[in-house]
Amino acid sequence: MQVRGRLLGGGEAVVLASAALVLGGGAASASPASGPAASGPAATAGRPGPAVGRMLRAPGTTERTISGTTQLESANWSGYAQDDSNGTYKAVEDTWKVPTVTKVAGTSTPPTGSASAASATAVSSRPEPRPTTSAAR
Amino acid sequence: VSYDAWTEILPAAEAVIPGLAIHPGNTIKTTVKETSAGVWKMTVQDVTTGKSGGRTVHYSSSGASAEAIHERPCIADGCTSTSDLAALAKTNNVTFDPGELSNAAAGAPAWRALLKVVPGGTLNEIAMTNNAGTAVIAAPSKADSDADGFTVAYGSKSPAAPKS
Repeated sequence: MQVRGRLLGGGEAVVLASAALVLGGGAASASPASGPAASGPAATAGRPGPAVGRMLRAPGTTERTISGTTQLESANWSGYAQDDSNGTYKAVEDTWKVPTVTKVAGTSTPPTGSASAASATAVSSRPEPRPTTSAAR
Repeated sequence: VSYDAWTEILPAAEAVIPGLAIHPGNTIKTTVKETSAGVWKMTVQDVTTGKSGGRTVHYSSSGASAEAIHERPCIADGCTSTSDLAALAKTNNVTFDPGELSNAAAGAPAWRALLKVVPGGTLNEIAMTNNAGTAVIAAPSKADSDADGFTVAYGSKSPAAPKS
């Protein structure tokens, strides 16, 4: 199993990932049998993709629906997602300006640094928005 | 600080798009679409420079969600807890606009506003919290007036929605 494995060493090693596309899914659907594995700077690890999933919702977070929109909290996503367990979505696109990093985190013990993916547009195999455990840069 | 563009298929690692230099302030357009049954094309276009890249893959997707998000990545092998996440880099606000999705047949997209719920779907507004889940660290705005855009701000305060 591969996960993003670029560890940022040193307090100044802050990198902004400015453009990301995610074709999300569990380990089974992202296996070599159903799609080529990405070839980025990966590290091998034992993360069980389907069990862990992409959602890292923090303990004690809430979910509520206001005016037809469900408000969620996530440990690593901010934005909007539509979901439909019937498998509705065939395409998605978005446009944004690459943001500028205005503050660099200063820590000295790995894993260090700050990282951000400016966006991911995704068609996911998950039934709900699942913040990705992905794309360390 | 460096900037990259990439595509990825979770849970595999990302694939950086070679030769597509990214700079702050550039306008980026990303597209993920099923071009025929089981064939997905992922594209990152730098509208400012006119350059683009991406890849086409065979992939079996449930098509169960579509999203546009600002994220902080996992930087530790395993990614089993929030402590594996990077600290969120502080940036200026990011406005996603316009965003669209399609639920039409593969290869013949019929684009509609990303934040306008398709029949049977649910719209989720997602705020990013710190590792303990005790504070919001990146907050989205409400949708703009034509339901195809929003802004994400660093911190706990939701920014104003963009003008449509």
